[in-house]
Amino acid sequence: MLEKIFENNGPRIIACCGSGGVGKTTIAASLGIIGALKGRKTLVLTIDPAKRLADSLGLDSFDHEIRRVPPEKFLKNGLNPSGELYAMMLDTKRTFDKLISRHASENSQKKILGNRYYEHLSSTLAGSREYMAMEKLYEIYHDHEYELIVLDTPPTRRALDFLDTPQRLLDLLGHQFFLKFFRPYLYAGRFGFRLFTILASPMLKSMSQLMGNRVLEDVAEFFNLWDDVMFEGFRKRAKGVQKLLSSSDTLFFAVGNPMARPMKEALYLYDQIRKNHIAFGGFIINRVHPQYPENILNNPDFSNLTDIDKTLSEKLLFNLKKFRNLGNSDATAIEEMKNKAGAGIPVVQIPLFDTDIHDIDGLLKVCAHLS
Amino acid sequence: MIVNHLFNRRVIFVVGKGGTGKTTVVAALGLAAAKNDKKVLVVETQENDALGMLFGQTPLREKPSVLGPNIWGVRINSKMVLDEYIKRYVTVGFVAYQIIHSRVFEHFAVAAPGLKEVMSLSEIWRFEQKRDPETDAFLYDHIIVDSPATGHGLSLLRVPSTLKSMFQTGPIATQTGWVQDMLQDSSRTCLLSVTLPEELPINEALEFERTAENDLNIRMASTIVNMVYPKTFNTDEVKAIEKLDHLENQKNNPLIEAARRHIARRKLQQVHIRRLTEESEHPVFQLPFYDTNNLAWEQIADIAEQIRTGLLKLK
Ligand SMILES: Nc1ncnc2c1ncn2[C@@H]1O[C@H](COP(=O)(O)OP(=O)(O)OP(=O)(O)O)[C@@H](O)[C@H]1O
Ligand SMILES: [Mg+2]
Repeated sequence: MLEKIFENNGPRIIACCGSGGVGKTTIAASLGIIGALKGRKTLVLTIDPAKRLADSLGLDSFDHEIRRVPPEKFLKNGLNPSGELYAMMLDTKRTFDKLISRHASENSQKKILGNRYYEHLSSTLAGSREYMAMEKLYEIYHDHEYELIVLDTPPTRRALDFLDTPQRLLDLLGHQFFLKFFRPYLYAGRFGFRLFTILASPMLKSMSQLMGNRVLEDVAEFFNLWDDVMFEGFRKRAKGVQKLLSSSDTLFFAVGNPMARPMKEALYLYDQIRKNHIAFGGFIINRVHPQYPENILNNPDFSNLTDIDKTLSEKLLFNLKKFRNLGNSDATAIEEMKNKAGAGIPVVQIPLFDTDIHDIDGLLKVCAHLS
Repeated sequence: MIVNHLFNRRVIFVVGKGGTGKTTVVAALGLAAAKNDKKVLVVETQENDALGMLFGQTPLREKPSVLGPNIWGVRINSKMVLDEYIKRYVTVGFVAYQIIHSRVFEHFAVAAPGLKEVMSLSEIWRFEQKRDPETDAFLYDHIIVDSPATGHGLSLLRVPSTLKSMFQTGPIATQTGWVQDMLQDSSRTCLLSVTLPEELPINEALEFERTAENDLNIRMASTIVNMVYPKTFNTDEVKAIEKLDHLENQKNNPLIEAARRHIARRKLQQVHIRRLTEESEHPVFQLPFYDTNNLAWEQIADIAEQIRTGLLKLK
């Protein structure tokens, strides 16, 4: 079904998004395998893979290097991909600092990184970690090393938060009036900025009584450090990232499962993707229960089950009914989603397997349903 | 009254990753405690108001209102709490008005990480302190909080310690201290974490426990593993089914096939649960998976009863 995205004029970036816990990492790894099998030099950028899956991709959870998935892993399964598969675990934790280092002069770098307010901001601004993942993607894309990059996005509450994080950050930093407001009351002392004529503004005075002076000073210093050069550099880069994501080189997939919330989230995602004019590849619904024929419970086949007692046969029937219900409610949910999404939007279903997926074998089972 | 039950703490934060069943557990635990004659306040901290939906009151009010016998519900609007806070502390009414409505402050409230969260926690603290004016007894026996599912489920609870280092003086710092005292007092507050019987969620639950107890000094009471396949077949029956499964003429019998599916999944889930039980310092409590994609009220009542007769009896 997704065959044609791997053709030569297909996208160079495939991004999998959706709510947490639906199996984005597994899907991304599987798409990566398909890419390699189709002959492309493919990189999977993943976030927090399960330990065993990471191991089987040859990733070490403590470094963030690009690693080649050893070809032997494929040979064991009788496959010999004409392309190559690489994987890397994204480090979304400390990259905010790198961003500062890229855009700030050496002098302000130190000050910013040491600023208490920055410390809080970098760890709590919603979507900032997600945005950093995009930064890395941008960098790798422009190195032109890989023909296909498959991106596993971080789980976000609002799944596309990372798209407007740069904008929100810019909005925050661009609060010139913030500065204009503080500047008359600021002077640069030996140990940084001090608000000294606080008494002159009744509002600042009340705010400082409420929160203490120090936090106001931290904030004021932080904004003062963002000079125009830095601001411009940051803005340009953020624009570039946004442009890449909405270019025809990038294709987004919404990954979900048939539970109510992930379905809702996937549709919401689709909505956002359309609004942002981003290319959409389709929905991938993971962990779908198989559907049984409607009349399955009418004539249960006990004919060859001679030596089982009544309790067990009742339990077997009860259990089958449960799975039939699950199959039905999954099918209903998916039908509903198809209707909401409209005709022509691919909806790929991956069954719920009996075992966890933690090696190439398992991923290949997923691949079989993707291509 | 037995004093050392697990859930004698008055403030219970239900934490966990998105979609694990936090809201369901908050509602069910609330119903269970209320049935045990406790006065319960369930608290929604998010805007999506899933909790109100379960109780058929959307949106939940911003002041506690009755949801059922012995049970009240409230939705915390942190911006409103912050505004009220300012009115209380900035004695000059005109200046308070100016602050609340100024752009600088508006942006400051957004930009100052944690200010909103600490305001939500302060409101919970106020509910905890509240006494009945006539009897002077505490108004609520339990305050059960549906914590937000951010990327890191403990971020709400981490806020006081980070904020305290930022705001060193002033009433907000003092208030943050009170909140911190409440959170870290294991006779007043506990966490109940909700997770799923799978590899990554179990890892995360263990990580939660370590972070909460070692870094944040907040006591965990128990971990609930939700959506567990029930034990439908006993050991002998499993053996019988496995034998049948190997018979050629049973290969495509849906009865056997569905049973095999159930047994395989359950086995896998129990492996993960066993690991949690071994590595966790606290009791692990299992809730069954219901064969639907969206729980109905009767199933929530069923969960409540399991919690009442199981979890609430744990010491
Ligand atoms: N034991 C269960 N069996 C089957 N379905 C369940 C079970 N528990 C919860 N659910 C369903 O799972 C979904 C998520 O549950 P719930 O809303 O309680 O999770 P949550 O952790 O509060 O999610 P969020 O992170 O979105 O707030 C709901 O559709 C609910 O009906
Ligand atoms: Mg919820």
